[in-house]
Amino acid sequence: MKTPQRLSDMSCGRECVVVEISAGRELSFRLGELGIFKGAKLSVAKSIGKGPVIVRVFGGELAIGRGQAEKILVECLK
Amino acid sequence: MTFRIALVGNPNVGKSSFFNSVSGESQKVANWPGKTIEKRSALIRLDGKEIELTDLPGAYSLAPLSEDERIVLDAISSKEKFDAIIQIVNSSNLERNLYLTTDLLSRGENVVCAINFLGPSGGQGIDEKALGKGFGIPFVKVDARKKESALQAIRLALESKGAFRKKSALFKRSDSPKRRYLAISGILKGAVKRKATTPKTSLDFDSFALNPILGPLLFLAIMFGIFHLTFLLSEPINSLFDLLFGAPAELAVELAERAQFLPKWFPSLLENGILAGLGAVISFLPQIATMSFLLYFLEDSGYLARAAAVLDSLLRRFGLGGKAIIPMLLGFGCNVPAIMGTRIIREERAKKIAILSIPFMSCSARLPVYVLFSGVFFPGKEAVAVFCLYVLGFAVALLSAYFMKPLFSGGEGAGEGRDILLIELPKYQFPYPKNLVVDTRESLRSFAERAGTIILGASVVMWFLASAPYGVEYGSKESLAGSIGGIFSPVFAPLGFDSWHASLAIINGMVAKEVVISSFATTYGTGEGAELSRRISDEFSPDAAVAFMIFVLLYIPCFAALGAIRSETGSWKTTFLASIYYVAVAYIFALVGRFAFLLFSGGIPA
Repeated sequence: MKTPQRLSDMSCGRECVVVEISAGRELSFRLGELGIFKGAKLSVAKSIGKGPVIVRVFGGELAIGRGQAEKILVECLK
Repeated sequence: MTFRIALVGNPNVGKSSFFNSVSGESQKVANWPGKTIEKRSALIRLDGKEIELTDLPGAYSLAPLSEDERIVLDAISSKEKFDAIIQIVNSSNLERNLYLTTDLLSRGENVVCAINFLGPSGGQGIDEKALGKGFGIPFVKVDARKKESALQAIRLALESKGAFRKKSALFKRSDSPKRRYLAISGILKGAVKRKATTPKTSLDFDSFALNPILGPLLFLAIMFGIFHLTFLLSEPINSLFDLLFGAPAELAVELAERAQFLPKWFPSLLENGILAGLGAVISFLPQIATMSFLLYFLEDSGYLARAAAVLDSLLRRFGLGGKAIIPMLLGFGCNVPAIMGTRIIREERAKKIAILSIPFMSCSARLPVYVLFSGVFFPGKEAVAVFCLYVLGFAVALLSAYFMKPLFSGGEGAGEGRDILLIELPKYQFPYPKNLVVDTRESLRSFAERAGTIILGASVVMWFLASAPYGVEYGSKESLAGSIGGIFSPVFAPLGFDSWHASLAIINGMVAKEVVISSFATTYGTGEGAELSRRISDEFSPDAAVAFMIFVLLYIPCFAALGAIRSETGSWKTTFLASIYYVAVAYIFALVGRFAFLLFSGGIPA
């Protein structure tokens, strides 16, 4: 059984699926519009230091602030 | 009956290319009511019908997160409905693009989708018929850069005649984003066959562009490159400019002098007022054009979104929350739309801090002052000087935000909206030259408009002040201009420039920063060019020039920006205090800058 991890802790190149978004309604909705919702598959394209996490989701690239990435829990696919 | 079509789409999908290729020279540019964001529209005739095409700003969805998206929503939901909406979608990023389509369909809009950017594969593997069936609206593949191809989409929209304007059974407004994405994926599965490709180059470059340490450095390097290129490229245009306008202007003055029927003061007004003042400003058109061209290039290439993402964490350390970076970067162009752009910042305190910090960002109107002064005092190193000034402005904006933070109470921890960073990173692309040319022409047009109104007006007033009272020698200390400037000149003596010309230029510069140069040109009575440079080099010492440039960079940006501050903060008091603040900050930095310069160049004057 895999344990969910925070998106902010994921290393580059990992493919994962979103299992939980522990954010309020507004942020959850905005993330959803950008393609990040429970069950969405994404891959981490870049995650460096304190900078934003760059994810690839639904064919687009998205920069997510570290603070927001901490609220997204993911499970690795591989 | 005019058929009204709106053009929508995500940013960087080729919407402008589509608009430019279809509309050609028939474009009209205005502002959205009450906004400083441009509204482009065109009247075109096709198959005997008249069509009004309106280009809406780029949007990712209709839940407005940015000022641009708010405009799209307002335009679409206004009473005068569009007869059809053409959405440009990017073939390489269909899922994200089609999310906007579901938003439009859930509102019962009459949508036609034009798939653009087909790339080398020519859009193979995309079955537009299947897409059309899935969404219940027409899809067509186009090459937005080619007029005939783009017109296909317009024809489809014409044929649709509102046929698709019915509440779509597929998408409801209450649908969650997840439901919509799943529906999109379902349709795409049957309609698109292609391998998942990763644009390798984009990722590799992003290793630098998005690196928390290297990224900001890269940004600085690119900005420096832009200033350098600005000088490099505009030089030949400048000489051409002098050639084209110098002689005719002299001829006009000569003719006016000979013409008996004109009043005696007219040649002087023409030469010292209108031609000198206006000419001085217009002679900087090449620099302004080159710089806006390069900045548009940066924006269209997709780099600017990366710069915003990477600078965001830097800004946050200075108390400029979340989305402040985009309006701040806009400030390099013009402070007024930048200040209005802070509306996207939800949290009151962060918004206020951003509004008050933006005027330190050096706008394009300040460029002529730097160009003139650094050309006179630092020949060969103009780009370095201008770069330093832009960086100084940026640094002062950050510092100012940092020290302002404790001043504004409340708002701390106002929910998670406080510092959200979510920025779409468009794919890198080589900007389409035609779009850059159209955008640059547009910024020149608005510059020319200011030249014809504010700057011309200010020049005439300046000429009058320099000529009055009757009988006084033009531009002498005894003139009205001389006495007004003289009152203030002792104030600026510690900064090294105590001539009344400089004081007057600074006072005038509050109207608009371009006026600083035209004020010099009219009160010296020199016009633009070598003569003006000579007077400047006579009247200023290098350290005073440094102080003057810093002062111009930081003090009150212009009346229009103050107006924007007033309307965004809703407070005259804040606006008034801010004006005093800008002058004080400018004074202190100019003073420090002057002595720092003296220290480094050796020798503090006795």
